[in-house]
Amino acid sequence: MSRLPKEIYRDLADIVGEQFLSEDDCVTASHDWFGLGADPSTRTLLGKPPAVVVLPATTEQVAGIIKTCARHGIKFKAHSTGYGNYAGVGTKGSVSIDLRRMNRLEVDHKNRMAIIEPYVTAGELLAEVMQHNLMCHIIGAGPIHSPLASATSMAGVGVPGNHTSNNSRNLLSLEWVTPEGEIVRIGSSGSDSGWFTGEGPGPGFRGMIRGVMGALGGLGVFTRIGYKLYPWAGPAALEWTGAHPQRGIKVPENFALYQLSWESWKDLTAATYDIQHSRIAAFMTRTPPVAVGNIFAETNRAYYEAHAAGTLVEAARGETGKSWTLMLMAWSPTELKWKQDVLMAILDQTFGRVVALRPDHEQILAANLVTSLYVARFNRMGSAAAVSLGIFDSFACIPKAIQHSEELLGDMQKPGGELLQADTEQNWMWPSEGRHIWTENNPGANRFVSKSLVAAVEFILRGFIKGEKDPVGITFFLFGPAADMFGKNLGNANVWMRRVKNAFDPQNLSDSKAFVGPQLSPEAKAWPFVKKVLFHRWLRPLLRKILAKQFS
Amino acid sequence: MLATSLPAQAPDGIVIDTQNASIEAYVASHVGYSERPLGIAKPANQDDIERLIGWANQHKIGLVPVSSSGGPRRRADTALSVPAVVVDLSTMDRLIHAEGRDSIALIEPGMTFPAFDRALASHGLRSIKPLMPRSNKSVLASFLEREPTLSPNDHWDTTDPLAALSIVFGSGEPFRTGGASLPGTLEENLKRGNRQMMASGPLVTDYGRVLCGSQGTLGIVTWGSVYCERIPECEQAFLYGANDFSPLAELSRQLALHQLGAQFFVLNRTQFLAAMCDSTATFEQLFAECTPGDTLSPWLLYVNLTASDHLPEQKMQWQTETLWELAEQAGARLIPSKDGLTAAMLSQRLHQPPLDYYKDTPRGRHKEVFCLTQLDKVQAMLDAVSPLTTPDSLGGIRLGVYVQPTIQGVSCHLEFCLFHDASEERQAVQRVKELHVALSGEKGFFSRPYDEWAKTAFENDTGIVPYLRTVKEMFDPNGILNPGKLCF
Amino acid sequence: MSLEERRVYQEACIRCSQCKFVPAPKSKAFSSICPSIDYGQFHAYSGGGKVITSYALVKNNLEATPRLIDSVFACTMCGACDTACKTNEGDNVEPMDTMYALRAHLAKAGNVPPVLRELVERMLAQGSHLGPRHSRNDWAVGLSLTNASQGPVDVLLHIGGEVAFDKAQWPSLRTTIKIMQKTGIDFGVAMDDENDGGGTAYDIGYQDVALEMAQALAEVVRKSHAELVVTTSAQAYSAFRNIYPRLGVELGAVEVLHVSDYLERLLQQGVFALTGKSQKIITYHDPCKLGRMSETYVQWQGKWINVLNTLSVPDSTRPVRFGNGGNYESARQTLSRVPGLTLVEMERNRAHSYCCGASAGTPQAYPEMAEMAAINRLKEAQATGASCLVTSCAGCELHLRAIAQRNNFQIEVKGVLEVVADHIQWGQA
Repeated sequence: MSRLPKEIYRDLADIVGEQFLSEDDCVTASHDWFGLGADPSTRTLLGKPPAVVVLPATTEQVAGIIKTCARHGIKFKAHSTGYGNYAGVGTKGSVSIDLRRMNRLEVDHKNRMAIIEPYVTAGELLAEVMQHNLMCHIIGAGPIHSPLASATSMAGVGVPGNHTSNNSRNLLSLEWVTPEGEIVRIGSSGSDSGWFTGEGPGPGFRGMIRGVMGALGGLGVFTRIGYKLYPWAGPAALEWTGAHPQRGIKVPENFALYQLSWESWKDLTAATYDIQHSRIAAFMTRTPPVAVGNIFAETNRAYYEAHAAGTLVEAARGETGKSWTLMLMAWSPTELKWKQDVLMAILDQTFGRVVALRPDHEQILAANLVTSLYVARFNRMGSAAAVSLGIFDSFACIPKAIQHSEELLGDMQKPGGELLQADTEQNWMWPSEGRHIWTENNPGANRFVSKSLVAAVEFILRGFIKGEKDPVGITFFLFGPAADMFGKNLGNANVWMRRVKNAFDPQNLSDSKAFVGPQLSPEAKAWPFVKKVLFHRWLRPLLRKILAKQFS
Repeated sequence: MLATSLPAQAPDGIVIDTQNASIEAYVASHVGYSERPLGIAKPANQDDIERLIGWANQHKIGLVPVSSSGGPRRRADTALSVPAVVVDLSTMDRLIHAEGRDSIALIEPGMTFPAFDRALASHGLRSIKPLMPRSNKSVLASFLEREPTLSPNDHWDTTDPLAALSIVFGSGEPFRTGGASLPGTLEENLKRGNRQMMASGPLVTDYGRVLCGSQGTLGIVTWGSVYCERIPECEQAFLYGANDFSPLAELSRQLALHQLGAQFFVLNRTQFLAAMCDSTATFEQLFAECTPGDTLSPWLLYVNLTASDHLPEQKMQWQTETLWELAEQAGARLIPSKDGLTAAMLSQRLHQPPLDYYKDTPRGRHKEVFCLTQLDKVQAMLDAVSPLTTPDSLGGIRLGVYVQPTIQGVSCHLEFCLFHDASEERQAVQRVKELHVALSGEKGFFSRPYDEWAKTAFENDTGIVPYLRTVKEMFDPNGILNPGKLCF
Repeated sequence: MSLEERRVYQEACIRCSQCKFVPAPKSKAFSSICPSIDYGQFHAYSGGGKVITSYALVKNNLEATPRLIDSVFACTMCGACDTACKTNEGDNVEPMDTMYALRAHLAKAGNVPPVLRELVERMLAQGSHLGPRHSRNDWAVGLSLTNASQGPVDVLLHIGGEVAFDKAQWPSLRTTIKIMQKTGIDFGVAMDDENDGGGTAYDIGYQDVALEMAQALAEVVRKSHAELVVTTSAQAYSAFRNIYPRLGVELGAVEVLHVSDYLERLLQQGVFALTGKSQKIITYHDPCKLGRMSETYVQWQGKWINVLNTLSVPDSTRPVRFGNGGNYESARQTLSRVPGLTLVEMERNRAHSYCCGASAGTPQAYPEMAEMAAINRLKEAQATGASCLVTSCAGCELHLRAIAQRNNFQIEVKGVLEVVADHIQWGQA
């Protein structure tokens, strides 16, 4: 394992204190683990651990660490709760800046916002703000993720998005330690005016470092943000029911939850527009039936037994898969009644229906809509996941998104296929801000079976290619080499990102293989040829052989 | 160093108007000082703009983009500080596309609010607006300036209601942001069903956000997608009043929390009268009639409840009941009409602003001072400026105050409007300076600093300056766009 | 299972950090579930971190450095990470079982903190690490008791070291005995034959020692011919139900109850009642060993297969411990019988209780960590407004009381029986 020279280690120890850094292999191995499987890889230990893990307590210490790295030309990367481990360093021997000790939270409930440090979790934030009739956006990673990390550095889509938007929009003012170790406050905090806006004076600088995707660890470290909160008409604390791990919440007074289904995507789309135009829905999510079944099952085995016995509940079966799970939220009984009346009228007009739910299932779904507690279960449906789409656009694109997914999946989900057996595509879907749709398709794969892993990788690439030729909407799933491979068709976004990288990180020390590097990646250089030749349908077997070799 | 005269060679296919009358008219359209432009170009489309920028880079000619068709231009962002060519986009005024069910439309920079509303009507939409914009104000310019809109509950982000943009940077490179960045031409994307609905992106870029507030110093927007409001099936507006600002701050907070009200904001009585009157005489008469115990409270909150065609009567009923309860809890009282001044009348003027700009109605001229802050800090700011706004201090100047909650109530725009006549010009200028200082002392955030305010704004935030200059170098390496503005 | 055999579980870790947090916290102050990472701060100290270490030990041939040993053994083996992990991962990861294998792996190679090694040596030599054998029955002086090693009894009362060697526990123990004597039940105590049950040795990683001690205690149970074993030791209760099945040690057709269960049963039968009135506000600490770590372990010999193309499942139905089967209600029921006594729950209760830091030798080997955990718990107890923190584990009680006194917490720490002792009325209420 690589080690830092002693004097650099000493410099870092002088900043944080001896007990708050470690170069021990067991510590660095923890930061080398990639377990999420959402990006197919055969490896769990990736073989590129950091040289040292450092635990700063303050922004000044973070700046000191980065300046030390800059002085010695050593790469670094920020890490908070480390879900996945997307925060893993891009290069072996980097410095992992673990922000666990920076977890201060201040709630400004009157102004519907919070000021948070990197290690505040969404679950903590939600608990603290609910007593003020507020809630926060929670991404699919669930309550244990860091909203700061999501808002500044990753994607930021989540199940409650119809009500709570996505994190490209929830980020207010922010504190940034640049790749050169300078502490810069962006937006109102820069003028010491508070943390309520990220734009100004003058241009909205934060648009340089966060787009539809965050900075991915490639542009320094973010140490504090203002974060937007949303109304919550429910109780000050959720009332939990049931037994772990199948706990739900009592649907609060003046709320109502419905599992809805339509016969066709066309009818569902028409209903979606009506629901949005009427503004009745707070929470609105389409969870693919297999995932619903998994959410209702405490283990994979429980799901499998129900599947084998044919006892999966209606909401977990493909025939009701053209669905929305909807929760109405109201501040009064009359408001709720109106929303319910409107919903029933819409269902009637669009040939939709209510799918019956057991009380405990209703409560579990309610819990998931508000807290995203069970979304992560999709990770256990396969040791890897293929992914396609990841798009935002008009609700009218819903049928096309489904079609894209189904075409890409082909027979891969049939018994004996390469991906998780299912009778529908795996599109998770929800409106964002009630204005447009977000959807991504996540069929499970098995990274320990070559055929499945190869199929997942190929699936992802074909998804990108399909998205180039016939895009359903703007995607954010293009990071790492994919940004270079496909960015040309998105206004050369990768070229601009490279300019930003070179401008703010001239030494290329902010270590992220997810952000573009200073030079065009080898994959991107090879891509035009690879795409033209190897993705031709006649050459599919050859492509799979090559991918098998690459990924085994 | 930028050229101070036009080169012999004009850009291909573009006429630069150098006639004295045009130049003079441009200078005169500014309330403050502007250098004389070298000429005025009126590109017809993006290709023209790209050629113009290419030419300007080649010959190091400054370019100042303007979108509104005429004055009075007040905010100095379009005033020239050095000789430059004005890029007049006002004739690029098409509604390119509108999608009623998605509540979104694509427009060119010359589109004004009245024209936009006329074009949107057949799609069942109307524009989301700032407070009674002047009739020749460009919609895109308004949103690019981050002018606050009246619809806090639909204001999800500072860039709202702007979504995707087509930009030509000062470097000459074209770029489409957000949902507009998909491969293919705009026409191909529209035909495919894509609707340019996302503001951020592509990938780790959000250059629409960067351009907002940049006063044309980084790029020229050639079209943009804009979220609109669906024309409601029914709507009813209310005025609530209080002697102090605090009850209305609380009511605003509750309206945002309950997501109630398609439009709401707070005005002081003076600003309200300015918004409602069509003549100086009427304004002065009503102003003089206001007494301490007047029906029209010193502070007024306007809220407009709307309902779509989904059981609208039922919706209006519970909304109204909720509003009454919230107002009572906040300590705000319902204001009946006075002298024919009603909430409904204000609604009419909000959706169809008068041709003459309302801020010039009271005394012929006005000056503005505004900043961003938060609702619970407004009172402290009002207290801080109160020594400057006593009758003795103001003389004949009338002081209007406008508070617009923004980003669904996270922050608010606080604006002081000094209505004055020609004889009070110097006094008004002095008051403006003093208000700046006072607000700056209370940590008001000058996110949109025009003219001299930029100096204060960037003195308050020196840390961001080098990074903004890096941005400027990236997007406009030769510094041709709107030279001398902000911190550039 | 060996570390290699745990591979399929290790590889299922998605590194989500759920092992560090209460699945749905009620506040930020009490959102953590893992004293180990709260102390060590590096991810390696968390349940997930230890899973990764266990994998890396084999894959990368990691050296057992002091830091590695620290990250593994600065841990009370409370099982909270395991329970939390199962929120979404079901039985795919089960960090606790990997952690047992990890400690066994390290112990075999002698890579155990010296303090813990010495502790286990004392266990072997004296039957308990908490005191010398000759003092083990000092609590019984003056009591007339049947020696269960010398003749058959219906009920074997197992004392446990943490009660036997803690004078503060003796009044409650004597009350228990008095209650049992009042029932007329034929019960006895194993006296000099009683050792600790091996649970702590297993927790530390000395599975061989644990087996030896478990077999010895099982023999004591057999010799007694008892059909019911009542233990006052939460550690032993957990060992009987959760550890002995792992070791293949069986007690036969014997019912095992913790004393809190037994007393509640007697209350229900009307052997005694609780009367009088109390104005106290109390809160209750769920001991790990009595709670989630007391769920019965059932051996499963199957393997993991893929079904539905990619879904990893056990090839047969496999019992999964989610923490729900712990002993949470007996003490609460008993306390609820005292008129006027108000119990206010802490946020982290039952299966999501936060470990006080007392077990697996932590107070001896990592006193700072043990204190930190106790302070965390005491703050949570204070936050309820309670004047008294009640628990059913002598080990927790001793530790929490000591830390409370050391840090001037204005809250009493008592056992259940101590709280209800003044309210006992013999016979039907």
